[in-house]
Amino acid sequence: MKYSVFGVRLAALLLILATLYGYQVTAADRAQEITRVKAEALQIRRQREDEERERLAILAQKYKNGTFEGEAEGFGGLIKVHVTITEGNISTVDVVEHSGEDEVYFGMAAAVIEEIIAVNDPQVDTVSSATFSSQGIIRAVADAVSKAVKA
Amino acid sequence: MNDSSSQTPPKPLSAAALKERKTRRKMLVGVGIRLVFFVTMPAAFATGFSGIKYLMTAIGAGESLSMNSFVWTLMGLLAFTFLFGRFFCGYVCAFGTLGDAVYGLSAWIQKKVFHRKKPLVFPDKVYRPLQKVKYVVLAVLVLLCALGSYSLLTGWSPWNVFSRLTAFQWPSAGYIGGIVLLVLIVIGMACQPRFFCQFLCPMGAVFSLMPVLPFSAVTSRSENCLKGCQACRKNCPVGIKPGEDKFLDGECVACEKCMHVCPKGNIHRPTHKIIRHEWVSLVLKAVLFFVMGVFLGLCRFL
Ligand code: SF4
Ligand code: SF4
Ligand code: SF4
Repeated sequence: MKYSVFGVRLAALLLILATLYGYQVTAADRAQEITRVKAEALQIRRQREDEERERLAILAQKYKNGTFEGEAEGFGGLIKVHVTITEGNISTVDVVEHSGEDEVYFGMAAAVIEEIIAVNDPQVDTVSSATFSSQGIIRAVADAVSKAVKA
Repeated sequence: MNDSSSQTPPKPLSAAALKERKTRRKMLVGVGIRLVFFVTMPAAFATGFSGIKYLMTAIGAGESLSMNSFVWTLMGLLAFTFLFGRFFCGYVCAFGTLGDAVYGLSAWIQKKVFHRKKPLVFPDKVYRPLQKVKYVVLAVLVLLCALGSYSLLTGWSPWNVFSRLTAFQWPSAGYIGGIVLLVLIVIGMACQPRFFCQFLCPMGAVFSLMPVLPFSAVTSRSENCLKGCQACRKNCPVGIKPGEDKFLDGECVACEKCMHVCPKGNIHRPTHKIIRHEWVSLVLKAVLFFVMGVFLGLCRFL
């Protein structure tokens, strides 16, 4: 590559990086603001939910307590999970088997676990670009949870 | 000359034979490297592109960017290309390897079965414009991500189908579009070297816009060229004379084929002055990439 060509390309690359950096700074500010607003909203919602829960008491609990096993096809093989349910809510999800998954993708896909716990339900969206692995986790959790559903 | 040695010297090889031995050894090393990467990191190119997709999707949605494993992979690939040229494309990428394998097989069949002296290639007029198509592919994909409508293409990705196959899983029924595209691409691969790489690959489009450190890129000294010689360009899978074609220099996948066909030895990489044996330099780069790949989580087994 000639130095002139290299120089032009390097300048373009640096420009792109600088733009990304500028974007990131602005977006991070905005994200902070959004988190703050969300946290406030969440607090209000929590308060309401607490009141609601007291009213409905234990009747409303969705699932049986215990640890349940579930499995489903992932990207390159079976994904197995242990789902622990305490006080009727999904409290932990341990993936005990995921040897068929590529690590990069699995790492991204594992984000669905937090979401599942947050919404107390395995019906969450898959992670784009890591569809197979995240779908595998979701289905495995759903499989486990189906064993815990109150008749 | 030094004749003082008392033992009978081994029969000296002619310069041409020496050169051929050198080329052969390097070629074998290259094939070995590609096999290893094909088996261990078959999804690396798609992962790198996922980095771009993630960045564009996040920007389109106005979210702040985070350094996830896709972005790290993208940065690793781009940094490697900046330092060593498109070594990734030349020797690591499973899809590039697939293309070369398909073309190699097709050229062999054309020679043995149809007795064609030279395998088919697209004429110059056709393939120069086609080389620009990949930028359109890149632009369309990036735009779809930024608009948040990338999911429209679910099931249409030939890369997805390919990566399923490398995991020995048959792609599911929703992937008909991707399967059809993959078959078409393989047919294309049989007609032109690096068909997908030079015409369609969105990741290749990004790589071909990258700056490459001038002292590690493949270049030529054309003031010594034979008159009317086009050997390097004719033998180059992407049809360029390295260092001469300005913008097109980015197409170079650093395969180093041109070095061996130049009758004047005009094509070189300055780094080869430091590491004299070219095959050693290949192995070093491969090891370096492998270590990086393992850290990025690209390796299927480690
Ligand atoms: S151009 Fe694309 S498909 Fe070809 S080797 Fe490079 S990344 Fe792989
Ligand atoms: S033949 Fe030479 S110029 Fe062409 S891609 Fe290979 S290294 Fe680059
Ligand atoms: S093969 Fe060598 S001599 Fe011929 S055009 Fe290319 S660089 Fe010049």
